[in-house]
Amino acid sequence: MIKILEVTKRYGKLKALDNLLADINDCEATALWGSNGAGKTTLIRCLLGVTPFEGEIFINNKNLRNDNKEIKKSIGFVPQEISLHDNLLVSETLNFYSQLKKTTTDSIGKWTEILGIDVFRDKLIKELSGGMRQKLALAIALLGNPLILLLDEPTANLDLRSREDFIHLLGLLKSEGKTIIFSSHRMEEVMSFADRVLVLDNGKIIADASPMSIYKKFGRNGILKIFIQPKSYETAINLLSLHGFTSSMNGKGIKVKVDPDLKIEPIKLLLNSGLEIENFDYEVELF
Amino acid sequence: MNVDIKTISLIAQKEILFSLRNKWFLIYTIIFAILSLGLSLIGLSGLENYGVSGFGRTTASLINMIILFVPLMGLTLGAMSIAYERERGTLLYILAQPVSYLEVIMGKFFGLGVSILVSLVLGFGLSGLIIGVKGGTADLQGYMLFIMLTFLLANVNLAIGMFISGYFRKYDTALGVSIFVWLFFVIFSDLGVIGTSFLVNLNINQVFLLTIFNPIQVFKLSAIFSLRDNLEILGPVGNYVVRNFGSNLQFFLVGILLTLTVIFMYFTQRLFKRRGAV
Repeated sequence: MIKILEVTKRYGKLKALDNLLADINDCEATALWGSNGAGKTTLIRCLLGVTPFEGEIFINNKNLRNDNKEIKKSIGFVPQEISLHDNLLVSETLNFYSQLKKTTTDSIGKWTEILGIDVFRDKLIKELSGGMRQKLALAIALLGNPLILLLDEPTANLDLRSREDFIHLLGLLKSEGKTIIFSSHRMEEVMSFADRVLVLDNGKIIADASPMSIYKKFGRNGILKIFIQPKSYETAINLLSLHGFTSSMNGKGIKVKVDPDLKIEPIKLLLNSGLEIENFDYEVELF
Repeated sequence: MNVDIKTISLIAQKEILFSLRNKWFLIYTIIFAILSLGLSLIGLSGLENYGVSGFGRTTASLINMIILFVPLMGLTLGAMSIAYERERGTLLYILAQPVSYLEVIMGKFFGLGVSILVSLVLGFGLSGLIIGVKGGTADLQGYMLFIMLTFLLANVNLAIGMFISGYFRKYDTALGVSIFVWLFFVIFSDLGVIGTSFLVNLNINQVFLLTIFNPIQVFKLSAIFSLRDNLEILGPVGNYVVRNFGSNLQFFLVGILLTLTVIFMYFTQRLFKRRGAV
């Protein structure tokens, strides 16, 4: 059980977290949801004890301030940006972190095979793809078989296929009884995986309910991101506008505001007009 | 205090490994070796004609090089130690493991300290070899003391560099500040003491007190005293110091270097804990 008692985190005059109160039960998968700057990452860092905060956090009846090292033995962490030492081999990296956790690389057990670590064990970190890095990060988090997993936007930098694979892995971990806390922007991840959602806004928890309740309560605005060739942007935007869709350019493609029930329509329109779609992604915004 | 020696050792080993792969560290090591060797050869030229012992003369040649180069090495390597990893995110990863802030700081300090020692031993070792062949081994003990003093100087500056690194979030800011501190120690500190003593008419005791806050000056006093058993070459302040401390002077000066190191490491640890991993 994790108890968050009146936790506040300040950066100067700014309150990144404002008097948070929450209990997280064992074996629960809890999603932290909110816009950028809502406090999701800050909360995860407070739970790790890697940033000072006001208030108290108890994990399995131990005070995080007094028993920080002891508590961290039971926590596995996957950050949003996987920052490992580029010039180390995967095997060296696993050895280093296993020694820090006072365990062995064998403690990952069956996950070595599930994650496919042996395939890239002799590669340098800088040679790994995004998906491999994410799997290595999860392997490091699983060293010592921790009871709690803290995951900060674990699928943010993955493509669609890798994302699905990763969510499947998290599902397996959840079925083993691990307590999982993760932050995400993606509704499908929250809906498919979370037992509970804590919605953060400006450092406060404004809602605490099941994924379906949150989805119904906060609205159904969705953003469909369609990745097409730059030369086709204008054509695509004009075509969508003719059919009543609001769209704009967005980095490597276009983004279209669309209800979740209608999200396939813009794709059908573009395909029928002969435009080539390289990839697409859909996110529900709760605000 | 929850400190595990194995954890400190593990982090120290990582630092040593990264130092060996760090281009700046390798550049420092090579330059130091070349300068030490070159100055030793120059210092030893004509030695046979004058009957002067090799180690003493070479040490005197090396002092001015040491007070410029070694603090720069310590300060900049220290400045890179925390800020660089914090900016890259690797510090967050390490602190997310069951380690304490103190263990991380001590591991980094000892790891970098060992790396610097290897660099110094290489440079001094090459010089020592040349001296031993050409000039004999009469002052070997003094030479070893000189190496130890240089290592202490490096450690003080390493500690100051780590303090700077713990304070500034950005790596290039920490590096810039460390270079400014080096300039202050090397150039402005002397001018400041001279200027202040003229402006406010400081007595010798006060000038000495101002001097000992600069680790480079402490090293210089200690190194010269190890060669000559007196400090006449430094004028009235040198005579004052020897008169007041006598044979305890060396212990006093070494004690200052150690104390400065401990003080800066203490504040580095506190600052690091207050700021956190990000």
